[in-house]
Amino acid sequence: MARRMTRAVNVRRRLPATATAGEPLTVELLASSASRRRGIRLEDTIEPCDGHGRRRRARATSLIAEIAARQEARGRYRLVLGRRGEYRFGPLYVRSSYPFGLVRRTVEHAIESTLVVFPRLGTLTSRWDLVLSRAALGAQRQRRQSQIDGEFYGLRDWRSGDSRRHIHWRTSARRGNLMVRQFERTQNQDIFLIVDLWQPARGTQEDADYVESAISLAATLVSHICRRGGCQLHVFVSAAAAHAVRGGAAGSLECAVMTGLARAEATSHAVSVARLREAIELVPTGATTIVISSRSDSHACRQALAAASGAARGETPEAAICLSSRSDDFNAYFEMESQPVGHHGGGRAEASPSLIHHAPIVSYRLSRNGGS
Amino acid sequence: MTLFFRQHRLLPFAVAAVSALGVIMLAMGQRDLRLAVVALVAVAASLVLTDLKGWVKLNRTLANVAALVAVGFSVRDFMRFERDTQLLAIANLLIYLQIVLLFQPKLLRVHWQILVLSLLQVVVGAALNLGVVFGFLLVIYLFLTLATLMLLFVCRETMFAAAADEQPSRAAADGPPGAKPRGATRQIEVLPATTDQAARLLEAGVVRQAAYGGCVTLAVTVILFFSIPRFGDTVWQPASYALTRTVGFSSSVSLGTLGAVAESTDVVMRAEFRHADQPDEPYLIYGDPLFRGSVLTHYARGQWHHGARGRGYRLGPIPDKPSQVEGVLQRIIIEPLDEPVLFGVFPMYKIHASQRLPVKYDPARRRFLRSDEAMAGQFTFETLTAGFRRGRQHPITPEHRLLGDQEHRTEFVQLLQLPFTNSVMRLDLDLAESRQRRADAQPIDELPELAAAAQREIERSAIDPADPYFKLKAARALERYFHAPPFAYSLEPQSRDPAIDPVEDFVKNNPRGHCEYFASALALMLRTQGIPARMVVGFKAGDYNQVGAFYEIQQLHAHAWVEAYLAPDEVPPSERPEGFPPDTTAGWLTLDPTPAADDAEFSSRGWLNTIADIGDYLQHLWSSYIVGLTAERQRESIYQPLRNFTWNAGRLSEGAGGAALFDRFWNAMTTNALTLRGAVVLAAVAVALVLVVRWGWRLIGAWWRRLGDRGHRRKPARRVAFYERLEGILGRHGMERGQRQTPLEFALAAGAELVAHADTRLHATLPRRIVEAYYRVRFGGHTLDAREADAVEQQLVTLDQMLSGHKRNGDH
Repeated sequence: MARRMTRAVNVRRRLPATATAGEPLTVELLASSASRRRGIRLEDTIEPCDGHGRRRRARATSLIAEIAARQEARGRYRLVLGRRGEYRFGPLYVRSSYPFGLVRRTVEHAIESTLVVFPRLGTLTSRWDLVLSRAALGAQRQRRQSQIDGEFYGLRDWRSGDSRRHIHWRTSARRGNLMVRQFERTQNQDIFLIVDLWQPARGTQEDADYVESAISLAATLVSHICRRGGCQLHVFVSAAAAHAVRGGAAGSLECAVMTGLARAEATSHAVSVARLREAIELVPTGATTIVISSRSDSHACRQALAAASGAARGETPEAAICLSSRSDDFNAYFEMESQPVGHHGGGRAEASPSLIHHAPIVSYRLSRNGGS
Repeated sequence: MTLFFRQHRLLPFAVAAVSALGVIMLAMGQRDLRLAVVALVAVAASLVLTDLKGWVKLNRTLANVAALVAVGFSVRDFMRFERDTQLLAIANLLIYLQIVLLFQPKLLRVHWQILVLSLLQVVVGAALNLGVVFGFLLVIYLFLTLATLMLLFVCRETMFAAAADEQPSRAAADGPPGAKPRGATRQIEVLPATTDQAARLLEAGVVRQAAYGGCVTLAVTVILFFSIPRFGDTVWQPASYALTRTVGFSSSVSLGTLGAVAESTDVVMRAEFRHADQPDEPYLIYGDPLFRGSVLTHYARGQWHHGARGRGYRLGPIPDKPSQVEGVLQRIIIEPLDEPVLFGVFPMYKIHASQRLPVKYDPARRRFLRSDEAMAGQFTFETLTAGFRRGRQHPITPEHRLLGDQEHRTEFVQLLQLPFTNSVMRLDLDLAESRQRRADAQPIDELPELAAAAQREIERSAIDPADPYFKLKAARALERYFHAPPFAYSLEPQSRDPAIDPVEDFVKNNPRGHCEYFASALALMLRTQGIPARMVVGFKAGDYNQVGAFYEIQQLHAHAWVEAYLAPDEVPPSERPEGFPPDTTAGWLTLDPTPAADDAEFSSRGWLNTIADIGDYLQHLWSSYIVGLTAERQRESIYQPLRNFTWNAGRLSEGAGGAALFDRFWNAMTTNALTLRGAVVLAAVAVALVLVVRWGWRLIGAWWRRLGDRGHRRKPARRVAFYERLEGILGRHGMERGQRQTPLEFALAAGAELVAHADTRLHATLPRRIVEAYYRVRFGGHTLDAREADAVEQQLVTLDQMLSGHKRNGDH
């Protein structure tokens, strides 16, 4: 009977489009057969594609009570993938010991799928808002200096304090009173995010955790920016395989950045100035630069940034927001419910506080005119 | 979720029921029921205290210690090295372990262990007891166990689905290889699943599934049990089976000992009578048949025994039936007894000349015997008897030997033996021989009152001594003498005067006693009157089972009666056995002096009798066709009818090829069944049969699926013309149906498109209305009548014109 139950059963798996580390996801298993089947257990195999998959392989099961003839029955299981990265699903096993549990038969279906799990997301604290607001004011001031007030969108009566440069003389003459031009003022600043994933050549678990924290912060920030929208986002990831992504802050960009962050592996090398320079060349003037690094000493990153920006435009960085995941202040900017790194709550921070290096936030800004 | 909990609630009850039933079945084979009662109490207590209330839970260490103590306790009994004791020790151990398990927290593992123990209990129980009740309980056990297993399966699947997989917690910790995971989260964590599917599995019907599984299992078991050939005539017996001690037909009878055992209801044998020419028709008998066992000829000091010299006996061929005699088939099934003597209605003959009866015939004592090996099991033999005439047992049993002649004088003298010598001397025989044999006899005047009473009764009956049938008439007069008061039947032990012979005391002082007293008194009375007589012991009647048309004879039906010898010329023609030559056939006149017992209480039981008959019949079927299914019985009951059926079917259809083939196969099997070749052929045939059935089943399945697929594929191919026209019209105007769009979705999308334009807005609902008509035809099996068809046609034309006009306007 068990043999009959597992024979000629077609199965397939339906994975979600996106998945985030630490958040539950549901995988659907669909089974169909030409004739009725009962008491089938579908067992799926999940393993990370990081070369250590077999050691970390997990199995999830879903029971399907009955498959009606020529119909598709659906089973599902839920799981939480704790870490970002690529996961391989499969093979899928169809098991049955129906009806009495005395004999069990298993049929293997070599159906494999891959799922990219985005980095774990956390919460940006109010200090981030403050920092971003200051950065926005700076950008606004810079825009005023550059006499760029935004797009024209209409006329209105002159009010006291309006600049005379904005008076539309032709209309004022026609109507007999002063009319001024109105401009749509851009409130959102463009953002250039540099994610520096560094860890020592013989890194420890702690180093890896700092990298993960940096990635989580970057992912949370990207998600935040893309949800808000209305700006250009440039992301440069300094990792084993450095890459850059840019575009309007929207879902598609978020997906691309998340995928890149999910696959990123930390490197022990310095930031590639040449690759950074390529990325900076495409960043518009006035963009807020944010550096998220896993280095204990952010000076190296700052130097690379200065070198890259100076070489690219003959300028030195004026101000940027730079935050190290090893910093004491990291928790003041970023919170995670179940953070892989023990920055807060009874984790590793308490176990080895000496590993937390003090790296103050350094702000500097890219500017055509230079000067920090 | 409710169902999830319900199945977990049901499981302890089901397991407890299986445990209790296993204990009961084991207890049926054990001689000591105390432990079984303790186990049943433990089952109930564990259900309440452990499973429902959770008050008592043995932890694993305690349970292991208790199990070790139980094993040690049982080993002591086991070391006695007696087969029965060892088996009982195992049975006890199973109960001890079960009690220990019952009070453990009920994990699935524990449930499994309890079920396995219960199964072992049933196995051991089968080795100890194989009654029909056991068989009945076995069927219940089958269904109950299957239901429990199914419930266990559902629970296991439910728990498996509900619990997170343990594997990731071991293997999927964070960190690179070699790094020690500290305070890290799991990389892959499978969350508990919902139990809705398991609940649906339960909803599918555990009881129905178990019933179905049980029926299939039972059917397959029955088919295999009856069809697999037996290779021997040994009947399987439980290990603890003891041969039943027999009474009433031993080679010696001591007066006064019958009462203690005569009330036993142990079944001794079953007897079926059928017409010889119509073997399927039961032969109905009026009156109570007497089943003869042994004949006893020598009496001394209240004891009867056979008077033949020596311990051995002479075996001879079983007699063939005289050609003129009409017989009745009698089939006797004797339970295991400690006596080799077989019982039946005499005279018994072979059914046909070539019949090989598995019995030995002792012509000296006119009795049938079975071998010592056959005594251990149920024994069946079938003979022909000439003891009936027109539904009644004939009062005279023919005797081919003329005992009065010189050749059989010794035997004749034995029939006249008395504890005194006067009557023998009167017969003018060899006194020296008589005296020699009566050297140990009692004094001559031991039975004066008995002889006087016989004389008085004959005189009172006014029978003429010159009457050629004097002996017959005198014998019957004496028989009637005992039927009247003061003689009375009683199984109660009677006080006897030890100074005189117990039979003399019975006639003279206390005329109450059981059949042996009556038979002894009559036999001795007949002998005092010169009528050769002997005592016969066997069984009388028994309970006639209306359902199964057989007599069931129990120990309490043991009986003793008298046979008086009549020379050929002393048998009246009217009473002479038919078919026997009158001049050379003597007769044994059956005389039963025992008054009938008052059995009014039995006759008024009504439907209780019917139920009892059904129970007896089931017991008969069980012991004959389940426990006692030997190769011979299997041949007779299964193969032969099957062969006859096939043969008849072949003849009826005038295609005897199949029947002939079967016949050839049958002959090959019957001649070679016990050889290696036969076994190989049989195995090959069985494998071929299985393959053919399997292949046929697959073929039917494939054909059925193909048929279904064809039907399935045909459905999309079934086109409806007006819908195709709709698609065509809309397609021409740039509205193509999407690949995943249903017709209705397509119609709604088209309607939305039409609404968007002022000149088509008015008829935007037309596609939907046409598609609704299409659905009625395509899926509802509806056929459009003329009016509906016209309306659809009109709608299509309108839609086409409207879209054409819209296009023209657009072009302009």
